[in-house]
Amino acid sequence: MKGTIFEKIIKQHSSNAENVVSDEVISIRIDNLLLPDNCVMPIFELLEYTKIKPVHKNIYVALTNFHYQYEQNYSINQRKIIDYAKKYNFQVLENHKGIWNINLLELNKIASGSTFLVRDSTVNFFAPLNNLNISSGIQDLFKSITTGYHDYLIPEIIKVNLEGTIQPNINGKNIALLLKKELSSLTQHRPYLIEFSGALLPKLTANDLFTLSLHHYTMNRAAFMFPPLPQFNNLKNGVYPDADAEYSKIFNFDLSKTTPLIDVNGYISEVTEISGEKIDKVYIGNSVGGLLDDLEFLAKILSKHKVSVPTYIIPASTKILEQAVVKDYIRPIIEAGCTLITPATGLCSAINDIIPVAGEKILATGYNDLSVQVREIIKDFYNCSIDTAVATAIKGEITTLNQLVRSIEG
Amino acid sequence: MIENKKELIDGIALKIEGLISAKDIVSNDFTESYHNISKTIPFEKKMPTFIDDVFSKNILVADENFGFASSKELPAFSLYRHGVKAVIAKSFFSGFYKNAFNIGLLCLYANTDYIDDGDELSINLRLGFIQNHTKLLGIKVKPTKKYFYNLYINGGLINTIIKEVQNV
Repeated sequence: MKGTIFEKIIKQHSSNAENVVSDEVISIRIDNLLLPDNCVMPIFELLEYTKIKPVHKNIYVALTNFHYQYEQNYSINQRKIIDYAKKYNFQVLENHKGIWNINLLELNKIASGSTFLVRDSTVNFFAPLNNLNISSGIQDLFKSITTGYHDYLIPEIIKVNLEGTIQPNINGKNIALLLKKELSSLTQHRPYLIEFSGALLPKLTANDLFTLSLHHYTMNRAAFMFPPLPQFNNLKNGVYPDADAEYSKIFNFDLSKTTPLIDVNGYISEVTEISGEKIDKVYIGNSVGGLLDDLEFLAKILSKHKVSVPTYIIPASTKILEQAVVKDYIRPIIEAGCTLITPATGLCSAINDIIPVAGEKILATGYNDLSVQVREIIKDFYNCSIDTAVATAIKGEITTLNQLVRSIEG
Repeated sequence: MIENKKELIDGIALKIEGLISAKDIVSNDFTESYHNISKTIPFEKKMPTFIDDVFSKNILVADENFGFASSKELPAFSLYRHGVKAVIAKSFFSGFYKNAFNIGLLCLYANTDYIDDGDELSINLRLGFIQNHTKLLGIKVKPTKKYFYNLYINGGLINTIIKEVQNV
């Protein structure tokens, strides 16, 4: 892994990382820490019990809506968490303001080349910022809180090169589904990290890159890394790979001919292959499809068409919802017949406040894996891009946006 | 010479076939939360008899990539809490492996084709060797890295940190 972005960040954060080799444990300095509320109470209890004081300064606590997990006394626990957070000087990200990833992104705290440790693998969302994101258990978090360091089990480093020019109706979701399909063989026994490269990256939107990063879930939880990109203004201060950087494997993809894809219960196919299948409900947002440019896109489409099946729209954060109201994106969405759901962190498959009825066919834009939490009561779970989701909501059956436009024009 | 009793483990194999994800160990339908740890039952759907079986068979034997698909500590903690002394598998998901040692649960890489459910086993961690008394076989174990060995001997990461703080 000589010359990789990964190796450089590890060396910048370790005093004894002369030779960074996969499968070894190296102690690295952690720049930022986040504790979701479903793990923070045991950590506070450990701090109280051991009397060891936190040494880390950049610690965030994310409050979430976990009522779907049948938590008892959840609101009481949350009040306790807020009190402890004040005592230990941890910054609280409130659940009603949206998903924590977006809230933290809006605070602009995660820098290029930094390290970020979280007990939640959605931390990979931040990968496009050219930093190293690590998901760990409670014990590792406690160590980092009390020492500032993390004993990191070094993964294998794989390069994925993305080239070509994508079609207008292809976005980060489709790229993620394509990679899930093509890289499924990587579901192997050694931990690995994917470094992305290629001329396509600067052509993608920030939304595409964040969406792609959230889908590391579908690729054996591999962590992602990206080079500095113009979308994030880090070309001058970012960490670049060497031209002759060494990777254990290299995969090349030309995405010029990629067509809209859909994941049906874990199997990925072209949307056109299953066009016409009836859908009962559509969920768009929050983690994928809930950013401001997504709402702008939805407003544009839905100002001309009404939805024909129950369709729920979830903005990713309160700030995004406020901006969307100011820009008048929400009015056409509601006038088209959609139901607006308030932003909240919780079940990221975009079903925060809704309990699906048994046997329903549900289509959502969220990242697929979390859908298993409700899959048992859903007949079929469809996962696709916002383009396909809104077209399907309008027609009431699976369709691409191009197919919808052609059928209306025809 | 073996000095630490934790390096010698005797037990009966509880073999589970096929790929086992973290969600097979602790169902995600119920909770991923630490608050409900006492309510989690390992293999509730995959192996409903686990709770009864683990009383007599306390060395879990598995196949490839054991515990994949979660970096959370709950699956390892739940096995440990319900009496599993060690997990032997052909390979482990790195997140599970690290979390297991962090709580003091021993994980060993070995060819588990030579172990069947109910086999009587003795693990010698120092020598990197498993004796299968039922089949009269010796099975080599991939050496455990010193970092993980120390975590196991110390009883997990929190105990290690407390010891380090007390020594300062």
